[in-house]
Amino acid sequence: MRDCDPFDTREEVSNPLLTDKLTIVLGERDGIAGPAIAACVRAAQGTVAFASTECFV
Amino acid sequence: MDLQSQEAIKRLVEEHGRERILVLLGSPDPEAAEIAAETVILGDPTYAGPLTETQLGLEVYHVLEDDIRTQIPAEVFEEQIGVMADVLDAPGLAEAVAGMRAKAP
Repeated sequence: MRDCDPFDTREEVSNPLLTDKLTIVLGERDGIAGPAIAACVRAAQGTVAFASTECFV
Repeated sequence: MDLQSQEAIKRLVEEHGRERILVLLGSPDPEAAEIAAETVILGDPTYAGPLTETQLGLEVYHVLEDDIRTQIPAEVFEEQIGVMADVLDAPGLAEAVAGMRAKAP
């Protein structure tokens, strides 16, 4: 329960990389996929300018 | 990095300026992360794509780096990335990308 965790300092981050920039997401199928990263960026109030999931076989 | 991604990156930098762009990687291993980071900082090391000999010097992080991870709501991070954060070599990925950031022009 995040709201009950007194050690959770996520609200105090002072370097808002995600909110100040346009984000280019380069996911990979064998790592973390583009849509998953893009969802995280949007949840952090960021803007996704481009997202892809690359596949190296 | 595939050619379509390189083309999109080049176009976005031309439209918005490099200072406005952040690149987030989901690479599975440090070697892949380093190559992707090198491509958007120093240019395409394979000399195959539009970013060949194009030093964009973009700000780039792997999504598992603490600077990024701590800005994502915990429940969303768990839902979207979850177990991959435990499976992948987060310290190695962070070191690889940070090492390339240090080489930015």
